[in-house]
Amino acid sequence: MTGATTTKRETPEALLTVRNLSVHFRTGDTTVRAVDDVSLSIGRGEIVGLVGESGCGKSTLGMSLLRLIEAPGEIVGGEVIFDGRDLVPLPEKELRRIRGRDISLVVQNALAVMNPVTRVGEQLTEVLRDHGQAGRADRLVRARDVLASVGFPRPAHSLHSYPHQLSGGMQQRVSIAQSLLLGPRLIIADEPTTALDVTVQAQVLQLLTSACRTQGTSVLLITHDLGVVAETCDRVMVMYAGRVVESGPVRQIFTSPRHPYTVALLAALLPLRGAPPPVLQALPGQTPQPNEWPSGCRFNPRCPRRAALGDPAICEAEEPALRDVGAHAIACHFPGEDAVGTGRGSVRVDD
Amino acid sequence: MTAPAASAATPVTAQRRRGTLRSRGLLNGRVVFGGTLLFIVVAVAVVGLVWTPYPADATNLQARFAAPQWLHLIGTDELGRDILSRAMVGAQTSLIISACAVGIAAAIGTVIGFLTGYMRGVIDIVLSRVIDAMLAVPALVVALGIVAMLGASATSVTVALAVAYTPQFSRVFRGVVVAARDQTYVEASRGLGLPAIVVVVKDLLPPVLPIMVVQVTTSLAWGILDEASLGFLGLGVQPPAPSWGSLLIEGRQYMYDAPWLPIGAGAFVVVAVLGVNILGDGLRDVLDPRAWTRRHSYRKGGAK
Amino acid sequence: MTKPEVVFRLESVTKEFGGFRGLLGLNRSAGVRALDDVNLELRRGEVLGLVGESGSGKTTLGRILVGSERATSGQVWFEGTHAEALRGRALRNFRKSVQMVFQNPFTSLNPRRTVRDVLHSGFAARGLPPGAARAAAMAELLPKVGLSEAMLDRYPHEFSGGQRQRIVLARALTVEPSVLVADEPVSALDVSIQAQILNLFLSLRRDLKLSIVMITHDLRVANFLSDRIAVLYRGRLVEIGTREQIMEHSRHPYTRMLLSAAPTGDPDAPHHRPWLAGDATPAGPMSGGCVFHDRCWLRKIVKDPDRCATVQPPLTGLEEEHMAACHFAEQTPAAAEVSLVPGEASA
Repeated sequence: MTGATTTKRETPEALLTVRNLSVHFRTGDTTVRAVDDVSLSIGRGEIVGLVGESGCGKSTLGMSLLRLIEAPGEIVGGEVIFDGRDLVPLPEKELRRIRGRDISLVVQNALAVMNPVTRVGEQLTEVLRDHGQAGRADRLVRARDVLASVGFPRPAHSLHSYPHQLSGGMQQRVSIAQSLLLGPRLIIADEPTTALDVTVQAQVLQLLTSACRTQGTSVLLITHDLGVVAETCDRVMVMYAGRVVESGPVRQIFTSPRHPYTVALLAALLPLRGAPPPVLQALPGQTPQPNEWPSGCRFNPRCPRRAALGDPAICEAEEPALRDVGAHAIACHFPGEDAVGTGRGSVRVDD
Repeated sequence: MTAPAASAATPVTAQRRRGTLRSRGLLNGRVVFGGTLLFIVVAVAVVGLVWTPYPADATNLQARFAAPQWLHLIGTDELGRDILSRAMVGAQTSLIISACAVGIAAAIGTVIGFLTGYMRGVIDIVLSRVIDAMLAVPALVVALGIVAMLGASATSVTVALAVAYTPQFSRVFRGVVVAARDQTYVEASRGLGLPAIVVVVKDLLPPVLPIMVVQVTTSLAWGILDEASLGFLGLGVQPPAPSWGSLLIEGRQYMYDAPWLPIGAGAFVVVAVLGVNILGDGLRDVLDPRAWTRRHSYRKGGAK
Repeated sequence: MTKPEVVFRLESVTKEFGGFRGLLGLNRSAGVRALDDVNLELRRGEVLGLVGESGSGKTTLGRILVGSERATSGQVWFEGTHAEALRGRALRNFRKSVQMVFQNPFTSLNPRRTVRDVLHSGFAARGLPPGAARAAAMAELLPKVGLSEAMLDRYPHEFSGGQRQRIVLARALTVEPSVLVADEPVSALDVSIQAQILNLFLSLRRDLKLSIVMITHDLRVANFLSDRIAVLYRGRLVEIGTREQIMEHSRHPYTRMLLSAAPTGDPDAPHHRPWLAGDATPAGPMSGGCVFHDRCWLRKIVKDPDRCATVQPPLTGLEEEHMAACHFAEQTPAAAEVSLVPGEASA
């Protein structure tokens, strides 16, 4: 677990390193900066959470790692270095070999990516065949084993099911099985459990993480739910309005968040045990949409810390860069020392 | 600051364009072009009410089969009657028949569509089967049968076309109403205790309107064509009264010797049908409020 | 202490869907049972959390309360009158008194109507004449839900999810209801917006003395808002009690399972979940036994008795307010300790 505790954004043993990646959507004369100058790295065997609200660019970022962005979206800059190779300039043909084999994808709606008239067994063996695994019998055995590993009680029987005959949780399990088939080194999981019931979500997450831990697979878990991140991930990155605003080891982010947005997200996390608070700490305003990022620090119109500091001009004028502060990296002009809670009493840290 | 009231002050969409006709797209290219064509046809018909180059049924045996020329812009027929004058007068007949038939069909079709779509139950089952049966027969054949029963006249053509078009209207509207009825916002309106008629007018009629525009314009075009077809088959307005249909059938016999006879009347039909169709196509877009701002704002779907 | 006033009382409410009746009303086939013999009451001024997973029947129950759906059998009593027997003006008044807030704020507003138009419909339903009376009502209503006058002439697509949910709440409040039935009102919203809307529910309840039924799959939401919580599983009420009884001392193994599955947001919490098994989707036709027996962890601990698979456990009182439908409800807390120990040891 060397990668989990490092404070640097680039680790020497990183499996995936993203540098200054920008993804823009151009429609007519407007350019939407959905992902703007994002850098990150994922170590081997590391499970990294990417957290953010709707429209913050987290899914766009996830898709762009596999270059699955469709027009009018476009990677306009940056590098995606996977295992020493930059995927951005790679020819489509070579990229296709990487997808599925080295990096696989799990999406929210498993049913939507499955062929409704093909049995589960064929869906799985097809992937194996496409990637050159010979022998139909071998392929079936492999498919059955993978199904068993994701918790199908009767895997041989389930190979003959059609996707619609399975419950939502089972469909998502098939989709995870499919992503595990070729023994990838990185799984990008985009809200894999959002559509599931909590009891099923817990099982699916448990399964995904244990499968990856045993095989040493890295995971980028894209989610809106900090609760899920807390118990699944080693490290977490918080995105807001197309930028990463804070990243660090999970425990540190949850116990001492530094960015006022992270602080607010954690405060909005409702407690399950104990008497509820009389009123919730709520951020003012709305989640900004990609065509209306505010200028300067994109969080500034909603920022309680900025309000507490008497609206310093720099917040509106300058976009803060992601800088290492202690064990975290945070993008705030006023990273603060005692940022836990409301963000009041923050002190400017001179660098 | 925990008051929720403080939080919702900023609008989501920065640019809101609404109000003027242009910003609504009401003046989009298709509306202008289609409207212009239709206006020309209607204007010609209206002018025909008070003035025509010659009386529509004035014969002039010296000028039989005159080719288009300065005195007769689109020529004359076998009795030396001025085609332009007859087409101008005939336009009234054709347009009125088509408009009346479509108006009646739309009114009855709306009622049936809403009855079957909103009420469900036995009414829906019975009426829908009747509609299905009627739809199985081409509209023109239905109209033919009715005219054959009622005898050929402008009134019977109108009635026949109205009956023939009603199933299409009710079928299309029923579909829209069924889709709209199960929307959560309709449930909410009913939950407010609003009377059914208010729910229909406020929540179910608006989604029908754009469809209605398309259906009405398409049917108007068909009405003009079908009136002409009935006339062509000799079941429309009877000669010597002019209509586009009767002009077409008269002209047919001399198609090779005096092609301006059918072409003159046919050109009117083409312009009218084209204009109505293009106009309807353009109007459909205008009636959706989401379209007014959509074209100005980033659509989230792309980033998903 | 006086006995709390009951607003709604459900007696053996059962709802079946899709019972096919054939063309002439012959050859009836049984449909899916969404609710099965539910007894429940809603008291004046309380927030009742209705918790369950998909397929639990919680939304159906909400729709029955507001009158959008009729119970197949059983009775719904509203303020002492039989709600399903109401007709005409009385029915309309009942529907006004009980308003629904929907899960998806994107489909619950008509895209073709401005906010003002929507709210005016509500005022009309309440009987306010256009003009000064409505203006006054509007001026009173808007600050309550955090909307401003400037937003009234816009269309729903110009608002974000949180703002739309405020509009939906405003619409519900135009007719001065006494009961709000909220169906997952925050589950479609962003985390930072959820808090705003939950706070809004709190303030509405306080200021308007509303009784609220909060339908949710999220125990955290139920815990935050509710006075009492009812847990549904496959159409049956399996446990009901005060917030504390359910969240801290639950006696039904299903409730325990739900609680253990909810993400805690605490990276140091033990993640071992020995009780989780299976999906909530109905596995087949309902047999005579307990609805939960096929997924039940407690049943394994008490040595798999036949009773669970053959006898349906009735909802029985355990202590004041607290009821659970489990043959072995007494043993749940102790069994939970036992089953947690090996889990913690291996974690």
